[in-house]
Amino acid sequence: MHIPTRKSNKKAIMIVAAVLLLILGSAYGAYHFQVGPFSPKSHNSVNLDPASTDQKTTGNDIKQSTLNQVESGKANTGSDPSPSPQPVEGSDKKSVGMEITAANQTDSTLQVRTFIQTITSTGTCTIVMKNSQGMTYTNTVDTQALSSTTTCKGFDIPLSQLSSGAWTITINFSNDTLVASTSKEITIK
Amino acid sequence: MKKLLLLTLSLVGLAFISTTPTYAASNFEAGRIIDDSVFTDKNSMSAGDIQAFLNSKVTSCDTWGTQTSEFGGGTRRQWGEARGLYPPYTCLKDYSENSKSAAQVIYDVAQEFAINPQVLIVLLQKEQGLVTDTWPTSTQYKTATGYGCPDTAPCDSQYFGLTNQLRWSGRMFRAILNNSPTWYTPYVLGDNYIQYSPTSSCGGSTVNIQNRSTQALYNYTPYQPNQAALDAGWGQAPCGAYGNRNFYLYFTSWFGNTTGPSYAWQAVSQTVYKDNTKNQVIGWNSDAMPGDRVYVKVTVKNTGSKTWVRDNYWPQVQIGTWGPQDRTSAVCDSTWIRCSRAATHNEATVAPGEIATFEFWAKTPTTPGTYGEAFNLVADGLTWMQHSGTYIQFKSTMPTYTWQPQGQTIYTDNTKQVSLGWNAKVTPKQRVYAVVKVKNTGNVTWYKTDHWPQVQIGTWYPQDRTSAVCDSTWIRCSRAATHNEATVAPGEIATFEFWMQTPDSTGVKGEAFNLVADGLTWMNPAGLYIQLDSAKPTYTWDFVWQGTFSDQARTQPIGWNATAAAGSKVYATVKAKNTGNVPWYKTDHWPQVQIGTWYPQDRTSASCTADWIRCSRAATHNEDIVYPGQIATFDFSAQMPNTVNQKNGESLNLVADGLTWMNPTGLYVTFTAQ
Repeated sequence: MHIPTRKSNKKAIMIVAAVLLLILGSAYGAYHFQVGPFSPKSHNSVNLDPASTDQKTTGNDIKQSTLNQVESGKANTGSDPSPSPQPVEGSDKKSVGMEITAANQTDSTLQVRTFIQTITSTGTCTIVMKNSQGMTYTNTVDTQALSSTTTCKGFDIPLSQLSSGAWTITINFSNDTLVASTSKEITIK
Repeated sequence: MKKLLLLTLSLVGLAFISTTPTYAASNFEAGRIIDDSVFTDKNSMSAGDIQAFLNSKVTSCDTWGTQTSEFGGGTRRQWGEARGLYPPYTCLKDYSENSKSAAQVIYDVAQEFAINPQVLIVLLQKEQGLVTDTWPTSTQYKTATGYGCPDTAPCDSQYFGLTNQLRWSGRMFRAILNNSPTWYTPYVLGDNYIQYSPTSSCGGSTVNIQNRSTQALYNYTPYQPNQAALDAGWGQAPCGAYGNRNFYLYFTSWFGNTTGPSYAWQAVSQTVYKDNTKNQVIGWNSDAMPGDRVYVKVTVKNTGSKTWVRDNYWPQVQIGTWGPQDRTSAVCDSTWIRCSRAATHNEATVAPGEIATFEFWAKTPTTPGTYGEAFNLVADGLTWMQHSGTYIQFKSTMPTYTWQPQGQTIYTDNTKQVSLGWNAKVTPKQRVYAVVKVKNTGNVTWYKTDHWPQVQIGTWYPQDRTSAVCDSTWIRCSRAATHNEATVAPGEIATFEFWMQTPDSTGVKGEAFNLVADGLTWMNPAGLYIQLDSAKPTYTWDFVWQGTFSDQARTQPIGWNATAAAGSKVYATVKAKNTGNVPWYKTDHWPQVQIGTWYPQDRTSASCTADWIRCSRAATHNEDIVYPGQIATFDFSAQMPNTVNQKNGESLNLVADGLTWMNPTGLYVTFTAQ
């Protein structure tokens, strides 16, 4: 008669657990690296079904938004349109939104990037950087129109012109009819 | 035990379910909306495929707007006309511009800028809803991709309309993909602050943009969806931005995943070089000698989504043997990682879209034959990539050393001015200079130095015999010389030049030569034979011309029978042809040929001047060397008699001084005093 022992049960459990952990680990690895069964589905699998209700509704919303924008005289249409320019007190120019989108330090330069919520190829951007020691860096560049916004044609500032520590970046844009301004605190390492 | 097994299996199943990607907005990655490999797959659809896709999305068009408007205001036509938008309302699938269908326009722009046409289709939908719209208006086509017209640009001609809009979009995407220095972008690869909405007060977050395609999408629509917009699926949410979310939703719904494989590549170039200096290309299909090493350079583009890291990283991307994978290569070199892995890439890192360079030695097998080697890239220890077609043929050919004569000439010396012809007439102990030109008709380049074997011209019949015309300048008396040229590739001409010293005897000496890859093999005997006809030296001459002049410049001739003032000096010239078989040398050779007094020989001349060698030798020739057949010129002065009407007759001859007088030719000059 065979009498199972506690020792053999424990050994079997450990073997099963080890195998399952191995499978689980392999599966996670395959998922992490997106190989084997987790290889991405081919992007060439074209769906030829009729448009779903969601797809059509979303398309109609965009259409209605676009036609409303045109009706209200907006220059840019399509998804996520920019807010309309706002009057500036005491000026015949209007104000538009502006954002510093990147202020990244590379080995030799500080990359500062912006967008302005209008579409224009006229005007200039002026950057002024100041630190607490009274050091100042300034530069003025032209603008470039993009599909729904505008960006300043810059700025790549040589780090040799900036000392380590805290700096305030202020960028002003203006053309014949619009103005914008934005600022940001950064630390040069 | 059974419970434990069940529990563990359930955990595994849950893990799979929780990690398997689904195509919903919840999988939207703000820093990686789409991979470059997908975004730039310009061949994903043909124009026909695009047309079929557009047809599938709209089953029936309301071209005349007869149906009820979903925006209120009666029929669609009534709603449109109230806004100045008149029918026909042409569906995108039926739309054409400049006689070109919308599908064809999409395809052409995709090809022009190397952008996936699916990206352009989604762009038309997410910006204007054009793909699914059953009654699109002219305004939607006018700004079909939502590409705005700058304030000072001519909008109608340059920006508006389906083609203009798609081309501007393609142009912008391509400029960003190429990192064009003239196209400024608000976003960069790496960290960027991206707003959740056009309204800045809605906030934003830092997004690490991982690839150019995602960078391009943010340049197009500079906002990211917030969590509420993502949770809303196709719906809307407070402070939501939808351009990039809808791009993702439409793309994944219609065309599958926006991310490509983690590890993928595309062949860019492959070159086989002679060696690792990479100066000499030997073509795609290497033709080498058995055992030769050649240097292979393969460049590929990383079209996957993972950056390849060379050092201290797993998995390392390597070039390995393929077809079948992991086989032992026939051209494995000791420098390989192992015989199924040739090398890893040179670059420390290769980001998606960047070019990697793999370089490795390949050693051709010692058995002659043609060896085709297929290679593929492998993330070693993890996965092989999809094969992209790198195949190199190594041809291992036995070396052959053969030649073909192209010409041979014997010259009097190494100035190579005077040819002695094939059957050179020479005199005993004369040195002559041989020039032999041959064509390398084998398959091996001949090297003058630093390579073994050196190709030399050697004695033949029998081979290696000691030559009768060996000169002290030879390599040895069975090897006359090697070629002048540093290298002589197959098909090129080699030149062998060497002195030959005729023996101290007369008669015809024939010398057979052949080429030898010294120490390896004699080449094909091609009939190189040099004949030297050695005869006793003869000194003879023919009279050519004589003249007498009143001036040293010899411009005032005074005739054969020269008449001049008594006691004056006149100037004579005699030209003589060397008809012997020995060159006459002006200096440094013995004997010197001179013009001397005759009848009787060596008599003291009455016309002798202080210019003469001595009063029985008027002069030697002007020329440094006068070879047989050439003309020598002897210039000398003469003293007129001191007494008027006195006449001195001078009989002259040429003499190889100290050796022999030459044949008398009747040379006679008279000098009469006035």
